Amino acid sequence: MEIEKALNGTELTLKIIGRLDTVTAPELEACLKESLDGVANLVMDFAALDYISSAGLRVILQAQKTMNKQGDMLIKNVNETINEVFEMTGFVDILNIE
Amino acid sequence: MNRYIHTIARCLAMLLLATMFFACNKYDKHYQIYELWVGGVKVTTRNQSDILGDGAVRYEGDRESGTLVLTNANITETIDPDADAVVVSNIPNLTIKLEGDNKIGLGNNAPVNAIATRNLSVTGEGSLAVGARASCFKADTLLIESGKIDTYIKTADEEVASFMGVALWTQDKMIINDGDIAIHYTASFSPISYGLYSVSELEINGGNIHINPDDSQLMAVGLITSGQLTINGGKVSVYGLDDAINAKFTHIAGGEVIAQALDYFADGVCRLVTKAEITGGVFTISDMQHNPKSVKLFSNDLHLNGVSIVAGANEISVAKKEINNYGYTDPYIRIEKEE
Repeated sequence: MEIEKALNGTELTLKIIGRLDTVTAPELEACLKESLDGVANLVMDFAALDYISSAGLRVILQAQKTMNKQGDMLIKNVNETINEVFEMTGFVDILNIE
Repeated sequence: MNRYIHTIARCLAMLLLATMFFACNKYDKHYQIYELWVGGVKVTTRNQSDILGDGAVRYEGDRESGTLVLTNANITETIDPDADAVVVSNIPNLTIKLEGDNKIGLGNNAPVNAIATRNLSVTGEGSLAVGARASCFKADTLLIESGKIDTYIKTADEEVASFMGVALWTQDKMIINDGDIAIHYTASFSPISYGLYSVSELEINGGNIHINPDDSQLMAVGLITSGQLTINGGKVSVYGLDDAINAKFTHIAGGEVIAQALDYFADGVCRLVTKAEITGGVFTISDMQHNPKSVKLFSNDLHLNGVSIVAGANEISVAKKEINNYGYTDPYIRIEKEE
């Protein structure tokens, strides 16, 4: 998995490339931990995300919890497979998905 | 005259400083504060022999290491029920010793976390029932040597904390050497709730671990680690909503593992993601939902050394492929040591 970061003022965009699973989720978690200070808007771009597992969902939800306190979070460019996961798990009601 | 007054003033000042010095030392000698909170009470040398005043909880040790002895304790309070744990410790090495039957976090309102520590060991012949909304045990490392432990992740509906509930969570190594551990889940449906979760390493050498024994609500994943899972002995029974076992590297060398799951994401009842070696013990895998004649075990690199797949496997691929068994008459794969 790769993560491309782009910071524009207080808006941080993270583009996740590859798979977000048990193996790679800790990497995203670490990236979020070190990047979210002072961020008011977090955008997660899933255009190049192929797969997400429960471990990835946990990291996303933790990010949502953090951003609820300091701003907002948007997930965009979700493919059909990932969207199905969000619907199955009820995450569509918790996350802001575009 | 002035010189005389100055001399007296200097003597008095020195006497005052000396008195303060000795008073402080005397104060330090008899009163120390530990980085340990139990039931909302900060533990000090003044209260450590009976922390809650009921004879049930005492601390034996110092600021670096020690043992929190629970004797028929029932501890429910936190400093902040929406943020803290019932037992909070920043002592580098803490042991919880169980005597009699103990409860933590099983009051009317479950805390967010029950036990939050740095390096933690659990020992003793007693029992401990723990309730929380997000985590029952949360530690840097966890070693369970003995004891009967029941954990309950519980909450009202739609609460994010329990949506991410984890019964036992460690950042670093989690080791189970013995004990009788049952993981219960009574919170709302969640596909991201875990039984035993170590970010780095999970090792089971003995004991009896039973995840979701009630079958009423299921935690999503029974055993999960982003690092190494090693099972050398003991008995592990898992019934998961999604994966029974999910690990980056896996080595099963002994013991008995019964892994059942509904495979919610339909990507494998057990996901032994990167590399898995099965060299001993008995490992039984069942898919309880999708197809009673098919069980999916996912691994990118599976090695079976000195063990065999029984119960009618039709196709087994060892390297870089999923292992699927179709046309089973029995709804499980069992991997056993070859005779």
